[in-house]
Amino acid sequence: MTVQLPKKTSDAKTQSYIDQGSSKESQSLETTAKEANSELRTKPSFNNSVLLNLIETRPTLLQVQEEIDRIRDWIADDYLVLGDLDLKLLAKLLKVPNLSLFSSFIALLEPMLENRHTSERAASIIIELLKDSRASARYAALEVISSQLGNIDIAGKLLEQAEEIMSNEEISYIVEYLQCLTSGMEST
Amino acid sequence: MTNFVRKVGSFAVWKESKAIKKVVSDDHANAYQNDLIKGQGLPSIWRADTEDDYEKISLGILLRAKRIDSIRLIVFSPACLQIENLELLHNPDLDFPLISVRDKHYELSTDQSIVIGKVAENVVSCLGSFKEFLKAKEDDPRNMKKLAEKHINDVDPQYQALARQWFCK
Repeated sequence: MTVQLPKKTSDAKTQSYIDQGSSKESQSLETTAKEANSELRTKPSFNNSVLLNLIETRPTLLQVQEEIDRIRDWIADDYLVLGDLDLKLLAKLLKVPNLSLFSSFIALLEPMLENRHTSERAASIIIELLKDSRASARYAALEVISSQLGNIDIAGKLLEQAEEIMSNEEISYIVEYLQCLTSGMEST
Repeated sequence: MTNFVRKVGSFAVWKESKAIKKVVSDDHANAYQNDLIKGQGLPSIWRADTEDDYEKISLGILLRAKRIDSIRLIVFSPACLQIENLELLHNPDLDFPLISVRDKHYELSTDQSIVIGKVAENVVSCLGSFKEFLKAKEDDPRNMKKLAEKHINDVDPQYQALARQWFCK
């Protein structure tokens, strides 16, 4: 038995709008909609995991870097770009034993620390990195903190924690950098 | 003293090799190569003749990106770049936001990985150094906010309003 679907009652209305379709208003609405749509398409998808989408495409390193630059800008503008899955994924990606990828992904932490949606989580990732067995990870964590000193309060608090966590640091260039950051010395 | 500089995101991986004056591993070498060639076209490099040049180049790079940030420069002594098959092409950047350093832009004429690898080796083996300007550290006389104020008169009119926002905040 076939069921007769009721005819759409809005057809007549639609028709009347179409009839008026050439008015200036509808033209400018259409243009605005087109622009908004194309702008939306250039933004990272806010509903999915942007990092998962990125790594699933098996990107080249250059593609990773370009995409991260793009994501960084959105985070810096305080958008909610990274969801729960992204934050978990990022913590994992920063453990990947490939220094080029590590250097690419760590670039997200600095704007994340300032972004109200991700600040707390970024801080906890940074604290983990300060305890990391890799010297480059510990140094990079200090760089993220240094970049936000004087800009947001949480950076000053993280620096205090870094001093505590790194009280037994043995690598001299890391100790020197920490000293530069805690004093007024020029950091080079 | 004249040096050449290039912006990198982080010194973390560079410092590891610098500490022992040689490239730690192939993975490190790859990371350096990526830092030295990242971007479109030939790798960009700037000539810094004075301390002010470092500051102006940094400020210009940030103004062009329209975002105040910390900036980290690899500093190459001229000897770092004296390598067979590597040429420095003078290519003035006529739209650069800081007017007085526009003429100090160069490009590395090679993208051969061996040559770029040699540059990285030279940097860590003692011919190179690092320079960092932090975004906003209050007790640092050379944070980017203060540098924007210091060099405001050298900023192209097109970027002046943005530069003022950075130090008037």
